[in-house]
Amino acid sequence: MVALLLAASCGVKPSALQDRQAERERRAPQQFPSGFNGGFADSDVNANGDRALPASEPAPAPSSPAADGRRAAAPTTPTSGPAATTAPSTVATAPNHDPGAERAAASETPSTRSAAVYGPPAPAPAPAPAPPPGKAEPAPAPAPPRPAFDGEPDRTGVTDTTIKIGIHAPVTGAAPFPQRAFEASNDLYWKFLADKGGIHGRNVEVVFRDDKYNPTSAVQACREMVEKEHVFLIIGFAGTDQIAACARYAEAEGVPYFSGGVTEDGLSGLNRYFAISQTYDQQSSTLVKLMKNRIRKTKVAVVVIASPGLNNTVKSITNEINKAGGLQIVRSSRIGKYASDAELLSEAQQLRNSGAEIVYVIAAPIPFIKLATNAQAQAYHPVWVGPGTTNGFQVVAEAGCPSIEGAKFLSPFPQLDAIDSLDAEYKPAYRKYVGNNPDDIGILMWGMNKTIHQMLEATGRDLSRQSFLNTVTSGQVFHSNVYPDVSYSSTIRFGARTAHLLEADCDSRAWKTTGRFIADF
Amino acid sequence: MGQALIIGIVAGSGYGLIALGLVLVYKSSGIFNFAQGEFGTIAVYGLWAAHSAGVPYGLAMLAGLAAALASGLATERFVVRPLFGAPRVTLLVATAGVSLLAIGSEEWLGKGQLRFLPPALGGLGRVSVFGFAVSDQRLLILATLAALAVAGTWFFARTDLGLAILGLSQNPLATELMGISAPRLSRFTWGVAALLGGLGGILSAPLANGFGAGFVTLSALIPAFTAAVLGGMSSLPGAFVGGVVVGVAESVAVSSPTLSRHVPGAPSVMVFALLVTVLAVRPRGLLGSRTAAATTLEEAL
Repeated sequence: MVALLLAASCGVKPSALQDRQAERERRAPQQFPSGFNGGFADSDVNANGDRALPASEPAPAPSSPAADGRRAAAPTTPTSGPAATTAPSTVATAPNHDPGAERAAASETPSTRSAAVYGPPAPAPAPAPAPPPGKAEPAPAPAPPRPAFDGEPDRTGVTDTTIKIGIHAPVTGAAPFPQRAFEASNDLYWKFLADKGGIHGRNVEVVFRDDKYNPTSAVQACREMVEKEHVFLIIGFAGTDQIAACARYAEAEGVPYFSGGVTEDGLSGLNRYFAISQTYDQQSSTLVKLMKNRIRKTKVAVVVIASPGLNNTVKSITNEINKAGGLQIVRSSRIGKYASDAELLSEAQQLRNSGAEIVYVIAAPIPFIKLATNAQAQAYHPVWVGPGTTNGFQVVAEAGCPSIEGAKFLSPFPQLDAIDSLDAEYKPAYRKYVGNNPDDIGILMWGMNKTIHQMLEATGRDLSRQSFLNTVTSGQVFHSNVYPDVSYSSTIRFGARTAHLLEADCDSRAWKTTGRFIADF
Repeated sequence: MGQALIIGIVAGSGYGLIALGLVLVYKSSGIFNFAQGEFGTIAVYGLWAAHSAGVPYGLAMLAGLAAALASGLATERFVVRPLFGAPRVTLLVATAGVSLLAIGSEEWLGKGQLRFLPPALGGLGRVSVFGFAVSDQRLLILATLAALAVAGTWFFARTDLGLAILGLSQNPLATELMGISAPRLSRFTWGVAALLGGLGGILSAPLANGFGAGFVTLSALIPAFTAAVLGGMSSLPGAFVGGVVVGVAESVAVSSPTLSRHVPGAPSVMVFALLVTVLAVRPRGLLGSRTAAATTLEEAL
């Protein structure tokens, strides 16, 4: 123990970390299907005219909302019912299809145009710089195709009238979801859908378990859902370690598993795991552009919880910062998952001493709020920046303000100020089925369930785990207009390319959605 | 180093406050009280509920302390006293059960929501030491802890009641034969311990801005236990010293760029290493007495 401490103090890097990094470097990058833009609406309709328009579609006028990077609302009304036999119009095959163009042409109305969204214009895919002669690096090997989903149809959790799905989330622990809000709305979308006729005549039943922000509890919860409740698929809402643990268990049991994007460590090799929003690694590039082009400060600190599953995320954000130029990492540290008061107080002081103007942070809400509060107590006010999901909850803004004023976090779901223009059916449905004022937790679940709905819808009436997974990995784009569009293939499991940008407005103690479906700044 | 020391003292005083209650119960009954953190959380909920209902902050703090006192007395009456003759490990498990019950109840009654509390004293950075600004709330914790440690030491060394409690912990039968009511002393001890836990909770919760079910247990019980053991389980000033030592160790670990970057959980590793070292060199803890160490050893055997 003492030797380890001495070695670390002397700058000797633990070999385990080096091994993990080397393994990461050997891994081939994910390949995306050609033509898929990840649901990046703003790249669909680019002010620079970079999008290849279908011949039948007129070019957008320069002053149109779409042309300046705004995104229109799309109706959520499900396209299927008992009588429906065709795939919904929102589902399309990726390679020769441009869902953004279709939305821009079909669903944008004057009323939706008036709801301005300040997503930036889409970046054209940057051409790869030509390598200097004689110094060309070998192209990374494409990821090998994964095994096909075949065999005897597995219809666990599916009856003629119902589909049972399992959800786990940290209701207790260091990243608490507001429990009442969650319970009120975890099946809201499915109730709404049932009144519209369900999915090919079936309604969805939800089984929920608290994973206690603990991987062991999470696996126990998933085991119960699989072995006792016999669910068709599982969704994990948040928590890196819990999601990774449950995803591995689900893989072993042959159960499809979806989650909000977290790490890629330990998940990239799983065949039945799907990230339904961008992973932390995928968000690194966007966040660095945010730092450089929007925040325009140079000294950056990286503070990430000490989970082995986030080692590659640290490497990813570090590489992006170094690659961007003009940014300087002045401190990089790992804090405990349940960081103590002394640890957070010291961390705040060290951040202040380092002169960091921007702090990239991945931590559960409670440690994050405490860290920001301790920083404020030291008259230190950096711009807090980070990837989604949990720090984008309203409760974090309520508790963290004024310490987190101006904080900017990416999020897979928009906040209450933006949902009407993206999905006008959410708030009325919430009021009808829950009875209270709509909240952001409801949006989180509405959006994720809506995306799952698109996948189930596209699979058709003949629903088995095999047919479902084959549909999901077919390259189709699943569009909810709440969560980012996603598309998976035989090699891709991290299928989102955009995220919303939330900014803490401490005058109203709330997150504001200042960018929608963003991939660039 | 100066900053790390100040941060350690400031943050460690919060641990020390919880550790005081742990030491008090241990001194009187030889029990590691896993419910100590929940006395604090219950007090925080009491303060929040009263303050939310419009009660002035000072009175709401008293309401929180009353809630903690009630929970401590209830624990003593319905859990500890019926099991007082049972092995200590049974009582230890029983207090863990009280803690779990309290967390579940808080989750249920608190509707699983994160709650917010303003500090009792809102000034930030009134005092600055080595470039580290100490808020008024933290000064309040520090002063409270120091006063309680001194008062507790005086109480056990100089008063009949204090001596009676010590006697009860070492030989309950002999103490009762001397005409001292064991139930009354036990009730008193648990009541005071609950008040100490409550005080720790209501003073430290505002520093975090938000709290939820099991707040004090999750955030402070383990460091507080470590502080109590480091200081010597029988010593009230030891709880204060132990809290500060834990705080300084964590702070030093964070302050080292190499450690914080390359050793995940460096503060916990540092505290653990320190704990092992102290117990190896001085098993009774920094300020613990030989008698207490011998008693602990006997119980362990």
